[in-house]
Amino acid sequence: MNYWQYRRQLYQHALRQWLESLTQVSTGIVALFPMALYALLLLPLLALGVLADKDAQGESFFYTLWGYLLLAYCWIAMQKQALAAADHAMYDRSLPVSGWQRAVTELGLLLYAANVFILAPAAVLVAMVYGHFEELLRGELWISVAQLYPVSGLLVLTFYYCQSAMGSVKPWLSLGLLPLIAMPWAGQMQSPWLCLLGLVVAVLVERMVRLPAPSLAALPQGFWRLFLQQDINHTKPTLLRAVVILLLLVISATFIRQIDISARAPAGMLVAFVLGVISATKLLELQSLRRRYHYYLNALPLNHHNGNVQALAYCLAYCLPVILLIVKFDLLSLSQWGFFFLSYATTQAGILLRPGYYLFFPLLTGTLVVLVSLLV
Amino acid sequence: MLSFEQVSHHFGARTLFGNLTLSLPEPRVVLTGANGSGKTTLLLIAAGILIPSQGAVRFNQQNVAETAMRRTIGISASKVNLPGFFKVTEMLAFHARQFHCVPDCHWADYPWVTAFGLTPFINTRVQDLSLGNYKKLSLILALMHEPELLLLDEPTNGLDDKTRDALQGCFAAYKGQLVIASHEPQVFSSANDVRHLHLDASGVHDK
Repeated sequence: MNYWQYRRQLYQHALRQWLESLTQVSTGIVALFPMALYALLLLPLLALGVLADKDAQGESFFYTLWGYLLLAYCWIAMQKQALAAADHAMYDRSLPVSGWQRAVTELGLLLYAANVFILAPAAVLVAMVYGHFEELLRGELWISVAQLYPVSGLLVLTFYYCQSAMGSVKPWLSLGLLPLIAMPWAGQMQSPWLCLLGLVVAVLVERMVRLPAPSLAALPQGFWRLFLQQDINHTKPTLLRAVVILLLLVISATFIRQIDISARAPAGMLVAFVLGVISATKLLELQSLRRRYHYYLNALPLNHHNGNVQALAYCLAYCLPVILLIVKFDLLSLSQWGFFFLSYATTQAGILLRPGYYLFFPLLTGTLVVLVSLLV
Repeated sequence: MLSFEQVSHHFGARTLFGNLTLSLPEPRVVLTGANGSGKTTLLLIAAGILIPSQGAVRFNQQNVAETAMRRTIGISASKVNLPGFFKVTEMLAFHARQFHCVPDCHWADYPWVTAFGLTPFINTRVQDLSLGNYKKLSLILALMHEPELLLLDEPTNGLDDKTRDALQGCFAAYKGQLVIASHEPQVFSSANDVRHLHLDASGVHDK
């Protein structure tokens, strides 16, 4: 076994472990979207249709590009430890491997891990260069550049975000704030040029202006501290939840805006239901944490009921940004908000009362609500 | 000779060593200190696998952080986490290949494996090994490439009497410099020229 095979094996092992823990921790998401997981892999390929088109509308190009880059970034960020062989870093550093061999291996692993996100636009670019080969030979460079820049920009940006996911710079502006701030003006963006330029400027700004590190001393103490520290130290489930919710919000907002007005109410109800259930499943993570340390937690002067109340309150606080985002997207009507909170509450009741069958609770409630609304 | 040149190391706001300058020409060194005093960290820094916040560590005038020095140094410490999914034989084979020291014999007959009584566990996964057997494997990996500097963190922890005897034999025959972090100051039962160091909040002192 050579060094490359060793690091690949470490990576695959860590990935297997991660997927196992993810299935346990994020049961809510995985159980809700067994089919969507496959669709998620196809999403980059579908997105390429928009992203490789120089005549694509600015708004659809921008949000497709954002979704694509956010997925690529999170995909690598979630695998960061596995890719860096962080669990075996000390042993790895004790090996007599040269700097360049290590760098080449790590680059190879990054491409291996990012596969479809980088290889798909690379393949499209190669195909387009081949298609425009005659123009290039004739010296009509500008025509070729005009055709190739969206996919070239996509490839460069994807590689940048994959690489940056391995480092410490967080894309808080380009993939975080920018898409939300730009939302009111997104319709006025005429060309993919502007979108790419905007992202590049945002990248430069976030590389210069770092977000201050959260001070642990300022965090609340007590049981909440345990939950918070867990979330800070194990960011993968939070990241996965954030990606799913953000994508769901963006896709839903676009979808609801474009469908017939008569279909908007039921579509909004479905969105409210799914968002409510996904937000509520945060409680599964907390319950799993409490099970893992139950000997220690049982030794604390805190009864089980009090522990449940603390966990429910933490979940609600954790979901506040999601609630604010839904308000910002102006997605739900008053009755749909009611349905959102009903789904949220019944899911959490299910997790507390019958953790193995918790989805039954919101599904039953949802069915009852639909039946009542049909009868009334 | 192992030497520390103005080495400082911090974990967050906590300073473990401040401006540590120390030369260790003795072939045998024992490092003692309370739990959490930084013994393991000092060994990791001496092995070049943890870069100190400031300063440098040299072995025979070479900076231990250089990749070329990996072949000169062997380390066994609980913080040096081994890939648990390997079987013992795979772990040994991988390590031997990296250090270009693949033996002629089968791993079950490898001298250190037999001496430490690890033969029955040769096909066990590393993650399934007991604490003692994990320690034995870690020691064999540190010894395998016959390093000139051997750094061992609590080497006798969890070992049975037979393995302790084998390890004492290894210490007696070992020709390089040997630095051990241990709660047992008498770990070198037969050696004469042993330097005893103690690590506490105010730094490293001769005992």
